[in-house]
Amino acid sequence: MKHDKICGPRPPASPVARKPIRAGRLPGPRSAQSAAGTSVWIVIPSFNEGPVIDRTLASLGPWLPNIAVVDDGSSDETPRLAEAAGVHVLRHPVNLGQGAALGTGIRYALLQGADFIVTFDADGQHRPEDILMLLATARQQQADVVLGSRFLGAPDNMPRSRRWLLRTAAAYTRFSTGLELTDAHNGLRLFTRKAAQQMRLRQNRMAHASEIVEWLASSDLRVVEAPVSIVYTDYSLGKGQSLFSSFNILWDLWSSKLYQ
Amino acid sequence: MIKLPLVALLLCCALYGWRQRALSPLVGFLTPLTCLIGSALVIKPEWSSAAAKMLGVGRGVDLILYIWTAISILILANIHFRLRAQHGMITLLAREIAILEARGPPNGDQA
Repeated sequence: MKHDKICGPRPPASPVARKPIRAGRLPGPRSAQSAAGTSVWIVIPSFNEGPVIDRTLASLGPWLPNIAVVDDGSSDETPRLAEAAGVHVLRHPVNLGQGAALGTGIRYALLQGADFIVTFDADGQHRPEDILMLLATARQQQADVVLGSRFLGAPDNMPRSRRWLLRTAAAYTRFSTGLELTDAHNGLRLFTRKAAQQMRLRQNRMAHASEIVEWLASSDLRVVEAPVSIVYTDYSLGKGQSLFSSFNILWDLWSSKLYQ
Repeated sequence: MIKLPLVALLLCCALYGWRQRALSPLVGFLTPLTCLIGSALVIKPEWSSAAAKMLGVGRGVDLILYIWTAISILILANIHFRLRAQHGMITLLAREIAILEARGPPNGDQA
């Protein structure tokens, strides 16, 4: 089950806005581009993902035709492997952070005429078939933004400490934005062209996830969550956020409100 | 005799803070305010003792030290915000370079 949210500056409680909506059917294993009849772009920010990037891209290849890997100043073989995989590769001359890489990829996808833009982590923790779920949800619910939620999806091997951290982050997001989200920091998201054009990311690093939610809360875009599954591996857990990172995120968010 | 250069220095700090208000209203407001209070305490040292007693700080010189610390923190915050703003500009430049030099699949279509 996923929850429908119509964002706005803390709108009055609306039975329509909070009414749960039944999950849509998962489309069959066919090209997302032909399924939607529109241009779908997958944006993958990456930084030193050499050990996994080729596997991640190989898993997406048969499903989705337009993939843009944004290499955020990697010092390993990430950009070369991505080019070898036959996808679009953009390279930041210096390391700027995941938020900056997402911004670059989204802007590039818009310039290529994307109708739908999906953000996807490079570490292989997302399942390609979930992209089709996001697309189906966007079409069925006429949503501008679909946020993946691991807490609405199938049970996984999420470590207890990670579950606690993410639950706390979601609770903070609910408190600070008024949006009833179950998962605030999932890298698998879908934006329609309209939504992507409105997005202005200022947070270069990991605080971009919270910034996106804050922006959605203040916009009039239609936002829904959809269930997705996360495949946790030692590699992805090693690259994930720690408790200390969450302090950095809070500092970035709060301090950014003190300057223009 | 020392009062004059100290007050001049504090007024320079106040002017500097005021000029930063476009970047950070917080710094632009608090820095001049703190500097003006500091100037007043330099000119009238007896005020610092009275104010310190009223605020429960202890001695007047302690209050001046705290005010100077507050000014330093505000100036540090301003430098931090300035660096963040410049980082934002670097991001825009890097983004344009990345897009201009984007490399697509050799045959214009992906595998």
